[in-house]
Amino acid sequence: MKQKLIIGLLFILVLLQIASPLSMIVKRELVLKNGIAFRFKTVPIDPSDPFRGRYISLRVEANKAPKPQGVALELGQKVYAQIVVDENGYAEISQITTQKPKAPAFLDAKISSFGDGNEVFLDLPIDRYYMEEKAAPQAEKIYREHSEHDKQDAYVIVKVKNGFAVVEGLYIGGQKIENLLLKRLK
Amino acid sequence: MDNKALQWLYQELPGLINKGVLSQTTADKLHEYYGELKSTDKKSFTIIFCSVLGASLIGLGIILLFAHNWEQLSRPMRVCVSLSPLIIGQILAFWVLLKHPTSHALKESVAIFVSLMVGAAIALVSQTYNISGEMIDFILSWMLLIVPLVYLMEVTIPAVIYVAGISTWVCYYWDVPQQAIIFWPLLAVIVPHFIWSLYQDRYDVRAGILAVVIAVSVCFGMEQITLNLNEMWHGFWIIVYSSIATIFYLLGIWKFKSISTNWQRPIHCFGEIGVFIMMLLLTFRFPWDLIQMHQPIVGWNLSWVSFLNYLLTLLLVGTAISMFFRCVKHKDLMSSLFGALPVLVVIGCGLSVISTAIPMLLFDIFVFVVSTMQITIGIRTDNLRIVNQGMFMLAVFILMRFFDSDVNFIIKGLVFIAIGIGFLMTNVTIIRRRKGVS
Repeated sequence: MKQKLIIGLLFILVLLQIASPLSMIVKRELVLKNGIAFRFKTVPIDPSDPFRGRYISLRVEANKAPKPQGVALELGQKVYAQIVVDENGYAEISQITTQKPKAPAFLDAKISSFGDGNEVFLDLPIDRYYMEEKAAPQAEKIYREHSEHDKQDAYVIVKVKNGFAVVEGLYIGGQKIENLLLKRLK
Repeated sequence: MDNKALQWLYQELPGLINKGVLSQTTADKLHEYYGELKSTDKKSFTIIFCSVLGASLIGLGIILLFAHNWEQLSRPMRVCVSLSPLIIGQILAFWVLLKHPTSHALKESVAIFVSLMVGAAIALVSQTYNISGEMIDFILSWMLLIVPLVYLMEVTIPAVIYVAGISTWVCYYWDVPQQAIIFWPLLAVIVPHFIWSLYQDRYDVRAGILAVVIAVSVCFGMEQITLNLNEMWHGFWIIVYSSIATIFYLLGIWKFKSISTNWQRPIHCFGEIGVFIMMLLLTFRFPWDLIQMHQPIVGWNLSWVSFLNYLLTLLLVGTAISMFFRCVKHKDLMSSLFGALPVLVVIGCGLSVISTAIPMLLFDIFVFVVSTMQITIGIRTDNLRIVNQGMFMLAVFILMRFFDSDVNFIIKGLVFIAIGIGFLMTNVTIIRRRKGVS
């Protein structure tokens, strides 16, 4: 009887252990399939994580929005950042709201700091792009070369659905970083 | 009784019967009372150790392989790769529970493997989908997914991984008391298993490792409380750490009385070292100056987190002091001396208002009394370990005072030599006396 109960409970735990990564996968696959794509301009640098390997840390340029009038905001508060596309085709945050917007183009974000003027800085869920161990430092080098020539043309394509974002790819000079690295190696 | 001691006793019995010290009936009664020797103890420890090491290395190796990031693999392929080691581990867990439910080695190694593979799976999914967020959030979800294994498979090393994981998590939130307070319920989750493992075999190495990790973890957790409350009054850390060290010391003595080797009662050793360090620290001026320099901020912090922290501190100090009084009641001299630390700290804090020199002097006397009493008790009971402990304490205390003062190098050198000779002479005398007696 006791063993049956333990086996039953272990079965539930096993399902939970699998469901946890699986739900992460399904949620993101749905966003990648049905989400709206935006280009966010970024500034990449190259750190590493002991469990998840090397990644390129992304600092999204469009991480600020005008402070909404008549709404009291505090640090760390969850807000909804509405996305618009500028004349160059890059995404930027037009406004933030505390109520979930009806328009589909918005991101869940947190307030990271308040600017000197009428600005609010945001923590956006776009902060890393994982790469192969040796590729990440080379990718950073390529980015630096590009920024030296005043190109500054690094951006990420992000799929967005219901405030949830999944980074699809990192592009430098219009090419996916992985393809650019392959060309360099040839 | 400890298996080693029992083994010694059973080896001695035939000789004692031959020499007429014991009758065969008494020897049989002793045998009946203590029961059979656990003959495979050492062998099973080696097997468990090797299995734990093997499973840990394989699991960590897989995590490192995943961390390399195999870009050539497609997304569906990476999903399969991330989940398959976990599923293999889980199938093994079912197999072990159904076919070998009594094998500690198999249960420990499979549970470690599953624990590490849960982390590897989440890590690889995070990597594949560039999931944002700090490593620390990843660690918490990982730990929560593995902790039920501890109870379902009755395993200890995954419990050690869990406690280490939540301690890492709480260190990250050192400046966010609202998050850090969650550490205590998280730690409480493992306490029933810890008590259970002590009931199974309190001298088991795995229970010992878990005890040390929990003790260190409690110190990490208390650090958050002192950081939170020190803003109000800078004496909190002195009271909190003195109480923790005393509780560990006295718990270790009461619950592990029948054993004489230190490595088998790690909580006691941890507490003893803690009490010694606190005693010595409090003979210096800076802790008392710190209390005086930063007077309490007007008005107490009455947020709910601070309220819980005050409550925990009060509970801790109350427990330590009541344990001290229990020692006094039982006329346990050595434990009462060590256990007096929190009481003296509270008195010292009160006296420091008059002058910081008074509590310093109080602790100078305290260290001196404790170390000389240890030497005396050690000599009286012919216990070289206690004598050396007392002499070590006294030597560190004297040397510290000498480095603290402006005495010239010649005198400092002579004091070093005198203490060294004192150590050697005492040991030689006791060993000679023992030989004389035998």
